[in-house]
Formats: sequence, structure tokens, C-alpha cells
Amino acid sequence: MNNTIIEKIFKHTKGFDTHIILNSTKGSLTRFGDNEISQNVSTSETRADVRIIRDGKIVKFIISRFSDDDIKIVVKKAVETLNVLKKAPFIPEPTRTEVKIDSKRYYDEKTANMSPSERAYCIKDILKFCKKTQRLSYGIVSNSEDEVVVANNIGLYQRYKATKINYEIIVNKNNAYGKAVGYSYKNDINFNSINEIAVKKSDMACSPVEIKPGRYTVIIEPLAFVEVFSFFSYLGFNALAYYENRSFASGNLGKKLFSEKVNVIDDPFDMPVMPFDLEGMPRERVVLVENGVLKNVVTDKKTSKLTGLPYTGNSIFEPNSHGAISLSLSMLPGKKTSDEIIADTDRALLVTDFHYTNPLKPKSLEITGMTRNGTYLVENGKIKKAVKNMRFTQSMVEALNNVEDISSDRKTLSEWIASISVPTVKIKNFNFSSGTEF
Amino acid sequence: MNDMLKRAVEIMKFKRVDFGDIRIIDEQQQNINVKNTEITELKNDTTLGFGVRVLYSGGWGFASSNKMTLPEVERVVELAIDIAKASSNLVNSKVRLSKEESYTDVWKTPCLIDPFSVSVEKKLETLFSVNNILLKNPKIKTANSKMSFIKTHKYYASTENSFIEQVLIYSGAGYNAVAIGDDVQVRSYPGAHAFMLSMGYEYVDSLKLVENAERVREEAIALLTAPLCPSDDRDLIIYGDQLALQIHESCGHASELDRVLGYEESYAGSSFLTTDKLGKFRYGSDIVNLVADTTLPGGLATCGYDDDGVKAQRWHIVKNGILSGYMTNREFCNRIGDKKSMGANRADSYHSIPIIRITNLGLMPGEWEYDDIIKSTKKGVILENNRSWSIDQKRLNFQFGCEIGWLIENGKIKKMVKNPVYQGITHKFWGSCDAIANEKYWKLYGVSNCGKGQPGQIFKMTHASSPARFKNVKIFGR
Repeated sequence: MNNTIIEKIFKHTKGFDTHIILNSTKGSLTRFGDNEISQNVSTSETRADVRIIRDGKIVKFIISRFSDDDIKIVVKKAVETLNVLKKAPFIPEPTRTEVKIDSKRYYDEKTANMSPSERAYCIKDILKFCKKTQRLSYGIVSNSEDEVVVANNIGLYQRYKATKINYEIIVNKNNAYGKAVGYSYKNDINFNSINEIAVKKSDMACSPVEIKPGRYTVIIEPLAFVEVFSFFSYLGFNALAYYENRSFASGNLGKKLFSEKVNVIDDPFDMPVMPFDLEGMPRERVVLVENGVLKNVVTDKKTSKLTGLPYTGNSIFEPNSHGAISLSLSMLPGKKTSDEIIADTDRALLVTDFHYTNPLKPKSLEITGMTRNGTYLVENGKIKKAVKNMRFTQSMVEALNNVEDISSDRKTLSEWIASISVPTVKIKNFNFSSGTEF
Repeated sequence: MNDMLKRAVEIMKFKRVDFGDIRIIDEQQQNINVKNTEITELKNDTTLGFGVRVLYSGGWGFASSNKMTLPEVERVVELAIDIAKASSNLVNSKVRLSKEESYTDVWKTPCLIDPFSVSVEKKLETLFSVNNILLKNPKIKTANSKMSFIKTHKYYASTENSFIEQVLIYSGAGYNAVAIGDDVQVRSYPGAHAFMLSMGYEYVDSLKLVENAERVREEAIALLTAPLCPSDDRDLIIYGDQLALQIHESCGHASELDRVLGYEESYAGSSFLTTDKLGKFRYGSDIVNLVADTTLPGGLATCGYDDDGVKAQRWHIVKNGILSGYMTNREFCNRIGDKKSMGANRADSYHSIPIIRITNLGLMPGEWEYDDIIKSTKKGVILENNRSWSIDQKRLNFQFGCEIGWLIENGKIKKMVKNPVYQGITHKFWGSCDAIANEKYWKLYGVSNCGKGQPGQIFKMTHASSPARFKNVKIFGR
């Protein structure tokens, strides 16, 4: 069916350079709160993002109705718009590549077809357990199937079909919260062990003590670290921010900015992620930080021209005002396990999760946010007690320079076409700026 | 459309569901972004699809599709029922909806100029004119201007025999200037977030985009060399989209009843405004009145009916400083003893299930002249437009950064300061509100990027306010 849609769009846009991103998605999500299913949804959608170019003019549109008549109407409108435009200063060249991709590496039919009762079965035991033990549970279990085809009318045809299953659970007993998550492209998630972690974290979070705002050594677990590390993707390693002097990377390529323990790559081959970008260009492994030295930023067609750097396959459908995004950011692992890092620590705060993080100063990646779902004091190598939640206000560029340890164990989390892989990190002098009432 | 609505309702009735409804949404959207002298986005989108919601044996099921055929409607209804059956085995008690009248009605956003009737050339001419002015000084490295228009045609039918057709129109325009020196400074107009209202193109005309561009440019440049905001406790006079966001984050989300009851805990968190506090809790000072209103002309959440089929209403969330109400829907209103929903249940698209969302929520005007607020402030800062935002999961500890501040000493505005950030605890902050400007200064500020729910939904609402003063708030420069 998807090929027919693409052919139809090409037929109706004859005489133009046409680029299509066809996305078919089927997703289902069971949400629970207060030990019961509160929402249970399923959705399916096919849509085409289309770009047409002629005589140096460019226009984009979306089609979600695919009869010949519907396509004709939408294209006619787009052409009318295109005709009144002036020539654009930048026109993305049509993608030409010898590398043809048709990937189903991360597709699992069972996961795609998981039923509402199978999702309910996944959470049945924890809901029962929490009810029986006067705990409350909240979370989601979701499964989805996505197919993305990127094609143009000079022969490009790249296809990626993948599935995902995602499990998140928060357990609360007397306002002591603990969270754990699981993610995979196939249903190999160990629900019981994830539940056990959330329950344990909640139990450890009871009777929190208040500590004063100030600078502390922190051990940030993957769930929390992903919240702050992901800002590097579009505010830091983005070649447009780099070119416009809005990024910490501007003027700093080749310089040592971070602790030598820090190694970061954009690695499409190491995690479930689309192996081409939305221009259809095969993606590459890009070393971003090596032993603390900033090596590269990621580029799309436009920023490659602007900066003179090679096109790395990190485009998100051009033209746009966002620039190039790292779609598979990965911090390489260290040598100790997370548990060993805790055991080797005299005094630190252990953070499970961050909440509502936002940049104050995009250039230095100064981020603020709250701790959530379990924050603890580590003393003499042991988790001693829970502490009340704190607000942090901290430059993440400075924080990565203050990294003391990186765990060997990592978590990979995913959102649509992007994935991110993060370890537990221990950072000294991390700034907590205020507290809250719980 | 009618065939599909009728068929869905017919099947749901035949299957004896407790309740069922179908929404068909036909939406047209146009986005135009111009960065410096280049169009970075010129996009016309049309989407059409439907969502079916079913309550069966006390459990919810929802399914959607954008394949507009009768067999697909039948498949999606059956799927929604299957999902509801799976839900019904894992509920604490059967969901019972509050009673509601059935309506047959048509409602349309009042609109003078259909934004889709205005030519792309005219829109582009305005945006390029703005950017030309912003870029006249080379210290402005980036000028971003944009327009966005949405027309949503919504058809609703339920097993309770409601049939409602609504046409909702939204228009937005705005821009920012990015000045880069040793620092990066941004100045926005009409707000950092506030750029859209539920009106026709007349709203864009009323903004006087070109006329404000020179001031915006000069303020962005001046911020590069302005002193850093001092760090101490000061009186804050807050206005513009900063006050809108303060209302949004600390009162709007905190008063969503589903969140209060724990049903949003897995994502955005819960609320400190627990139901035992209703009618008793001092949320703010006596002069603080926060009113939810889905009838507000121009409000982004203004409609004839919400997605439960409940008629638009106006009610207090905070009355004379006391917590007096919540954002409610038909599922949860009985948990606070209300027999009827206030009508705050909405979905952002055909493929989303309706959930409780903040409606339009405004801070009612006070009695002060704005100049008198300044004159009576000994040591203060005026703050405008949001730059960064964060609040904890119970909506207590917040921290907001603003684009610009002006120091006040002994009743006089002394100088511009950069990078002001203030921080507080919600009920203490609103408790310190001692002055609100009168209705002459009361304006609407739209929020069009509010996220909530899993799967995530983005929704729009408006927060109207006049400038207000808050005493002794912790502020610092970053």
C-alpha cells in the first residue's frame, strides 16, 4: 500500500523535485494509576510529509488522505503557494546514494500484535501486589509498530520498519516514590525485576530528611541522566547552533572541555534506531567527544554547506529552523558497575530521576529541574537515607568536566526515530539551588 | 461524515456499551517560519480522522484511525470495545459518568477574517518586513518570525444522542530577535510563548508586528550590555506571558482533578491541591481570584462544548485567595461531590483520548493603576516574558527565568537588567500578591504548547491577567 501512495504522489508532482517521508504507525498504550487501568488506547495513522521544489522555490505539505482526488487538491494548493514565492537562498539537493536500506532488524511481529489483554496481563501482578500491600502504582505499558519510507523521484527509496515495547512504573507508599523502566524492540522485558526495583526504591525513599541547598557530589542514574544529557543533542552537538555561536561547541572543536573519562558518539549501529535520516541519507558513526576532547558536531545538508564539515546524515527534513539533531547519542561505558560506584563513594546524593528540566542558558547548557522518584544520601559506600527533593541549577558542560566515574552498565531509551544510551555518572560539585516541601 | 457518526453510535448501542462517543476531526493548518531572509518552513497540512471512545462494564477503551470508510469505523468501534473489556478487569470500581443533557448544536469561533482567505504573499510580506527591521543592526544575528493558523472542524456524536458540530479557528503570529555578543540574549513579541489566540486574521492585524520590531531589536541589543539582575529578595511586578506561565504552571496544572487524584502521576506528576483542601486552603492573598472560563472570547480553550459533550462554562478555581474549584470532567467530578462536570475534558486530535486539560484560566483584575504599583514599590523588579521554566511534580517549587527585567528603587524605574530568575513555593508566592492592576491592563496571553498525558498530547489555552506585584520574592541573575 505504501508503494502505491508514493507512486501516486510522484504522479501528481511530475515536473518537481519531490521528496516524501511516509510514516505508518500503529500504537497502543495501557496506562494505570492508583492500581487500576485508567486509560487504554490504540491508534493507527498513515501520513506523508512531502517537499516539492521547482525553479529554486520550495514548499512542504502533509497528506493524510490518499485518493487521487485528495492528493490532487493538496498538490494544487501547494503549487499555488510555490508560484508566489521568491527563489529560496538554500535548496536541499535531492539525496543520491548507492546505499539502499530496507531494515527490519528491530521488528518483532509478536510485539507489533500485542493485544489489550496481553498488556493488561503484564501489569496484573503489580497492581494486585500494590493493592494488597497498601502501595499505589502508576505507569504505562505500550507497544508500537512504525514504518518509515523516505523516497524521492530520482530513485531514493529507504525503508525502516521497527517495533517497540515500553514499560514504566512508579510505586508510592506514604508519599515515598520509586521508579523503574524497561524498553526493548521485542517483548523480552522482565516485568518482575523492574517492579522489584520500583518497590525497593519506594521503600528506601520513606521518611526523607531535608538537606541544605549547595554543591554536592551526585551519582545520577540513567533515568535522570537522560533528562539532562539529551539537551546536548539539539543545543550542543547541533551544527546549526555551532555555526550560529549558540552552542558550547562553537569555536571549541579540538579542545578538551570535559573530563577525560567522557566519550560520546552518535552511533546508529549500537541501538535500535533508524539507519538513515529524514533526507534518506545513510547515517554514520560520529565521534563527538573522545577522552574529554570535543571532536565533531553532527550536520545536515544545509549546515554541512555552512560549516564546510562533512554531511553526517543527521537531517530532520529540510528546510527547517532546528538544524541537525543527534539521533543516537551514546555515552560510552566506564569500568565499574553502578553498584561499585556507590560502594566507592564517601558521600554523595544518589538521584533516580529528574523532573521538568529546562535550559536557563542554552550555550553553557545550564539546566534547571527537580529530583524525583527517589533521592538518597550515600555515605561510606552505602545508601543511608532518603532526602527531600531538590532543585538543581547546573551547567552540564561544567558537570561533564567534573565527571569522576561512569558506569559499565547503561540504559537505552527511545522516542520515535531517536534513541539515547546512557550510563550512571558520578559528578562532583553539582549545584542544588533550592528545596521543596516533600 | 454523518454516515460514519451514525454507524459508530448504532454499533455501540447495539453492543450495549455503558457510554460511547465518536469524534471526527477535519483539520487544516498552515505554518510559516522565516529565519533572517529565508523561509525555513512553509507548510500546509490537512488531517482527517476519527476517534472512538467506549465505556464498557465500567472500563475505558479508545481507538482511532484516519481511514475514512464505514468498514474501518466498524473495525475501530470493535477494537475500542475489546480494549474497554480488557480495562474493565483491572479497575478499582466501575467508571460512572456524571449526567449530562444531550445537545444538537453548531458552534463556531467568532471570526472577522478567515486566516486561510489571506494570501501567503501578504503573510510573507509582513514576516520579511519584521525581519528586515530586526536585522538592521548587525548585533542581531538571528531574526525569527512566524505565523500559524488552524481551522478545526469537529463532529461529535454520542450514545446519549448528542450531535455537536464545532468550527474552531486559531491565528497566531510573533517573532524574536537573537543578539549575540559575549552573551546570547533574546527578546520576543508578543511573548516568548504567547503568540496565538482563537480569532481570525484580525488578531494578526491587531498585533502591529512591524510597528513593534524596532523596540524589540533595541531591547535585545541593550540586554547584551545590561548589568546582571541582582540576587536578593525583592518585590516583583510580573506581566505579559511570564505571568501567564506562572498561572499556567502553578495554578492551572495544580487544579486538574485527574492529576490531583493521581492519574497523571506516571508522567507530569500530581498536585499539592488535594481534595481535602477544597473550600479551605489559602492558595493566595485575598485579592487573588483565578477564574476558569471556556466562554472567554478569544481564549484558545474557548469552545461551545468540551470533548465530553459538556457545555462551556465559567467558574472559580481560587476565590478571594481560597481554593474553590478544579478543572473537572464527567468521569471525576463526582469525586469532589459535584453532580456535573465543568467541561474541561479535551483531546488534542482525533487520535487522542480526551483528558482533563487546563481551560482558559485568568487572574481577575484588581483596582490598581499600573503606575501606582510602581510608585509604591521601594525595591523591586519588573519582569516580562518567559525565558526558562520548571516546577516540581506537585506544583510547589518553581523557578522561572525571564527575558528582561527593570529595577525599581524608591518608586522609580532605574535600569534594565538581564537574566533575571526568580524562585518560590506556589502558595507562599500567591499569598504575597498585594497589588493587581485594573481591567484597563487586562490582556489575553495564549499558551499553545502545553504537554500532558501518555501518549503525549499538546494543547492550547489562554491565561488573561493584568500586571501583579508579589512581595519579597527570591530573585537572582544567572
